[in-house]
Amino acid sequence: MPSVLLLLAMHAPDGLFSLSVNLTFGLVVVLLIGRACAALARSHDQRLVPLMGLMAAFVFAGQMVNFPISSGTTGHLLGGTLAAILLGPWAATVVMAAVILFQALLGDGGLTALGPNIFNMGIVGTCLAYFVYRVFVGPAFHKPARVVAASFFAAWLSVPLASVFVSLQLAVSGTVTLARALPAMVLTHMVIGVGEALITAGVVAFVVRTRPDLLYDRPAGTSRRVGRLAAIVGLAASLVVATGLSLLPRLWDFPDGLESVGFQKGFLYEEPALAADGIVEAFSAYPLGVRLALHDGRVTATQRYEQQASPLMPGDVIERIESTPVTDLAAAAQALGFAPAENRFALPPGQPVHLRVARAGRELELVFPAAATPAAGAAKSRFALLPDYTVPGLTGLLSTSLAGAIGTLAMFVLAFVAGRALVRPIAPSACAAAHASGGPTHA
Amino acid sequence: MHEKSLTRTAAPLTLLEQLDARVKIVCALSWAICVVTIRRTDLPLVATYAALLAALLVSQRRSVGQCLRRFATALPAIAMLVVLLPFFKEGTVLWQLGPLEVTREGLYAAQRLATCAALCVGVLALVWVTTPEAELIAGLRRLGLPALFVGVLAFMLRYLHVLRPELHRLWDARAARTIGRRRPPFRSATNLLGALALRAHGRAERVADAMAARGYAGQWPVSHAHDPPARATLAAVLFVSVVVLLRILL
Repeated sequence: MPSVLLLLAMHAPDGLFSLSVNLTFGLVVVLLIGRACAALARSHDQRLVPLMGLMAAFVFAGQMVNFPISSGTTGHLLGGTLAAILLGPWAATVVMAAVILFQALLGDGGLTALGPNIFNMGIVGTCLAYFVYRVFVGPAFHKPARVVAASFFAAWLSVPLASVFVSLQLAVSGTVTLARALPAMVLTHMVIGVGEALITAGVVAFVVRTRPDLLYDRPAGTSRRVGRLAAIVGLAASLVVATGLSLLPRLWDFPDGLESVGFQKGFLYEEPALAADGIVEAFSAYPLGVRLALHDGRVTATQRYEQQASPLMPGDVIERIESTPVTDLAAAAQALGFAPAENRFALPPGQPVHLRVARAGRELELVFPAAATPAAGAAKSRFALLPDYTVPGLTGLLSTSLAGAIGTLAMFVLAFVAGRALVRPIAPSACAAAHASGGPTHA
Repeated sequence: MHEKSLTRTAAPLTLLEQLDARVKIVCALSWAICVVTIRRTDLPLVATYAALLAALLVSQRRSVGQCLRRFATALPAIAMLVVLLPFFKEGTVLWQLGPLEVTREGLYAAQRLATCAALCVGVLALVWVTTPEAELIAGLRRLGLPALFVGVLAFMLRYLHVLRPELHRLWDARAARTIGRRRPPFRSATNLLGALALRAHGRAERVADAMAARGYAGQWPVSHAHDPPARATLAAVLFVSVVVLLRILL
């Protein structure tokens, strides 16, 4: 549901972003478009304006083509990356700005939101994506597979990148909080981006097969060593960025979607933190909806799991569970039926738990109703949509970072496979047909 | 769009149609800025703006229907956002629909968004319907937008009418070749778009050649044929000041 909202937020109407956001991004866009126009005007290429105008019309018309993606789902092109690959980043920025301005005049996207809209779809989709494309191709413009794979990757990346900017703008405008917007936005746009990437790479593959001279970048006479260096630097840079992104879920303490379901259904428990001598230092007491840790010799609730409605607050000192006095974590674990070796609670589901806690100097008697136990299902679920991947056998940040790096490598491999598949030679008759279809000869 | 150019020659122009495109663009922009700063509780202001918009619309006589149609085509996307926003904003939960929650803050935000978007889209529909494309382009140029940018916009508007039928021809040709296939493969769709890109490029080259043959050297003459009559400019100044004053007073 949120994904649709945010998909539409790419063409933000008036009133979605605050005036300050609109003005700030408007200023940035005006400066960048001015810079682009000045740079292009200096080239004194008279053929540029008709070419850019026709390409703008092409992008506009191309956005109307619906692509069959899977059963019943269709996607359409945004076109920023494609324009950048064909025209270069500056010309593509101007082209996209013209397209978006025209759409705004037609009522698709607000007049005051032009700044953020052009920035998200125009500048991120063209300049940033083009940078990624160049880094990925290196000097290997004579290798069709590399070019197509690079366009696939750049087009894919441009969509989640744009979504990051949209959620930042939404958050600064006070429309939706960052914690809610960013994970939903990035995740859905990672999926949407695959459609954009497939279409862009498909069109680039067609152009590479039929008229490779139309690409903005000509094969450069750089040495093979420089090419390899560029590829390595590009890969390293993407790895760093992706690893950083993969650490994002750590910003949100709630579990991701799968974990949330696991906790609710009672088949998943968090690994307890064990000290060197095997003593439990902290563990997630899911029946209580909190994480328990040892603080100054007392067992304290340190963190609340928001997917469970728990009367316990972080900072509460647990004094007694049922009739068992709680002096250390082992006792608490035992009272809750927690078996560290099996890593699960043996507490019978549906049974109320009586607790005596100290909160700010006051003694409280808390009764956890049956509904609070995980097996009975949590009342309210909230989870981070970006999953917090880990590598088995490792824990903590290292594990997440490694998982992010592996994910990035997998994406690269996918891009290469897609590139190879798309540039495989097609039947000569189809090539001939493509050449022959020049259209009417009058202008 | 053809309809627009035909009605243009048919009857005496309304005041809005006589207005210079620059004036209309500036008016629309200041209107949009005033509207965006509206708070949810400014109901008298919203009512006044809506009445103003309705009065402008009715003054268009012949093109009322056209304006309304233009307005209606922009509505679905906005309506979708307005419907979804209440589920998405954090705040006091009013109703729970399974995993979805409708919050009071979300409803307020949706109400505000609907108001802003409708008022702005309404004015844009008026501007679009009452201004021929050529005048709109000239107006943007004379407002100081870079010549290159405006040139791209002009070519886009001109050749969109050419590329769109071209796309349909490609589409029809493909449908004719793939008789009996209900769902054409993905790759053939990208090939079709690629072919369109090549055609657009080829046409751009021919257009550039034709322009060079007619003496184009990188500059367009700026037309001053449509300098606004003083009366119209005065009306526009009045309009902007009324809109801004209303915003301040109400």
